[in-house]
Amino acid sequence: MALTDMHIVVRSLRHRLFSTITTISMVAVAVALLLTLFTLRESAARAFSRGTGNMHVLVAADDSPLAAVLNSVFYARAPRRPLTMALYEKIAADQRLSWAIPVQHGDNLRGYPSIATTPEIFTKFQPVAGEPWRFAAGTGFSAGNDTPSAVWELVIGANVAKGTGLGVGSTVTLTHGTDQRGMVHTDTPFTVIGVLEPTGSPHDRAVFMRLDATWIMHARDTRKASGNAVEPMVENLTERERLITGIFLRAKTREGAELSPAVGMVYDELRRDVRLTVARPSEEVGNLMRIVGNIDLIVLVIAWVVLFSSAISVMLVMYESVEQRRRQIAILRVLGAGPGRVALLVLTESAVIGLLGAACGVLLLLVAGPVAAGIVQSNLGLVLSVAINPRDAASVVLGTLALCMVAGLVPALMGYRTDVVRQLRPQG
Amino acid sequence: MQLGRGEQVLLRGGSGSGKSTLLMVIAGLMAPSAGEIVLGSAEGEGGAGTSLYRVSAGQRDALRGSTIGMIFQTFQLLAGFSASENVQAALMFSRVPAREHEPRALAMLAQLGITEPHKEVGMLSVGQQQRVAVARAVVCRPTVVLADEPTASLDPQNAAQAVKVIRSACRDAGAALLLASHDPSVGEGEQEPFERTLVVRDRGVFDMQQDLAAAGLAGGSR
Repeated sequence: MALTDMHIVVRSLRHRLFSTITTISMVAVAVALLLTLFTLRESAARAFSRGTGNMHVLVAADDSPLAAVLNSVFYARAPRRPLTMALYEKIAADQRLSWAIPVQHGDNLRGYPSIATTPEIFTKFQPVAGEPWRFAAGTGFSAGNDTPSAVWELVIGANVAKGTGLGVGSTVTLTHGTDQRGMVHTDTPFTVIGVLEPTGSPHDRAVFMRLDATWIMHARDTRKASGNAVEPMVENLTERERLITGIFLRAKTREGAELSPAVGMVYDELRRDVRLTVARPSEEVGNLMRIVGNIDLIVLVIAWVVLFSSAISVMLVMYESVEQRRRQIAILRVLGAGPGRVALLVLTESAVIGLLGAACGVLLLLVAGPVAAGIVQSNLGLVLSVAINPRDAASVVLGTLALCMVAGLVPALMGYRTDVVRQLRPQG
Repeated sequence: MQLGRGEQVLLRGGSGSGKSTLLMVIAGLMAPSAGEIVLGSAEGEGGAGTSLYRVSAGQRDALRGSTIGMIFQTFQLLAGFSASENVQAALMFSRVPAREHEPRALAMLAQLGITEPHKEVGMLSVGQQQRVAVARAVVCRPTVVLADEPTASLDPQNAAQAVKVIRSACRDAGAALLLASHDPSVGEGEQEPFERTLVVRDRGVFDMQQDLAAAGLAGGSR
């Protein structure tokens, strides 16, 4: 095979293998860091934008609309103040509503938050607008099935199934509150009847149970503590035992339309009730992303600075390389290489370092990302996606390439200006 | 000063007399303070009567690549590259099509007795390195080969052999040879003496065949 410019570049890189590998590693780490931040940002934005689904309004009793959304939709904390079912029934009776689904948060299954609700959560609420639930195994709660055993049914999100190894038919008990170390409701074992497909939303880490079940389970504990011997059943639950923490609402819309004037009217009317915290989840998520966006920008700038500093190291390495290769450059000039071609050789070398560094960075993220995400998930319970957006990857790779080529400009100029006669004089 | 087509000329002169500088000027690597370098005659291969310092730097580099071969005292081979690659490096900047580079380099090395063309040049003996340098200088079939003290690193026996190889390779390639050396043994006792011997002295080039003493410093053909 004929000797080409690329052979000369590769030979030069191989000749100083240690500094080449070190520089490529520096670029790779910077690229991986930058892509990690891009990926995390996208993952967070996707998770936030997907969680609210096709709900128009959220009603809760939290301190603020944002807290209500974070607690009821993103399972940040269990809402502290409850709502009564009477209030729910009054709101749900509004003819402008398409549906109203009561929810109650509070317990957990091995750290995964539980949400007690009605069967309509699987038929009417969509975790992501336009994307209904799909079951990987089993089914949801069947409406109208009020047999005693049906009360103790559980449906688990995809991440719960993956994280716990539970499947249809598994029997489990829930822990009171959000702390895994809390009191276990040992008297009330549940059976898993359905496993959901991943939705890419916070609901993937939720455990769904019937409202009746949580009411009976907690009533049993409180009645036992207060010396009340009456076994709680759906029929004998008191108003204080039938509490919820939120209501998911959707107003009626025209076929195919996402919004209607009714959404604003319902929202405004509900806000007048001082007992309620009313939120339009999509707006609250938008506000949150704007707040987070500023911090996000700072972190991104830091990552670009890291990449920039690795480009400076490329410049130093290339500077050293040209210094050491002045004689080789002079020989190439004697053989007929123009100064421009010599400069191009140096620039190509910088570009190769940048390209290899960027490729290794992407590879590093692809290999180490899932491992790191697994560790984060098992230790912190956070579900991180490490799927790299091809557009982000392309822009980072091209940005790295451009930075490294800019870094190679000064060494290339040195190569361009090499004094051939001086370099070829016999030494010693 | 003129160098005829295929002519072999010995350039003499003491250390620091300017022989290397003259070769650099002829090679287009150092602009002359006065005068000009014209490459090729009416039938020349480097373009008819091309004045080396009146063309652009890029054209000058291209001309050097295709019409001038250079041999150095320390060979100036590309370290880390094989003998074949060193010879191909000269072809890279010529007009020779890329597909011919390797076969042509291998053939030239074989012609000069290099049996391990893929060996890294650092692993070759000094004599073999010299031959690789010669192969690199003539592989493009240049118009002229400029050899700057090519025997300075060699013992007398190898020096005589090296000069023979250079002269023979230039003859085969049809290239003129301007061989600069301060070594008085170079050119002595050869079966075919150099066609001319020039002397660099006092900032001028003088023809040995003319009577320097009679002409004084103004008498030589510059």
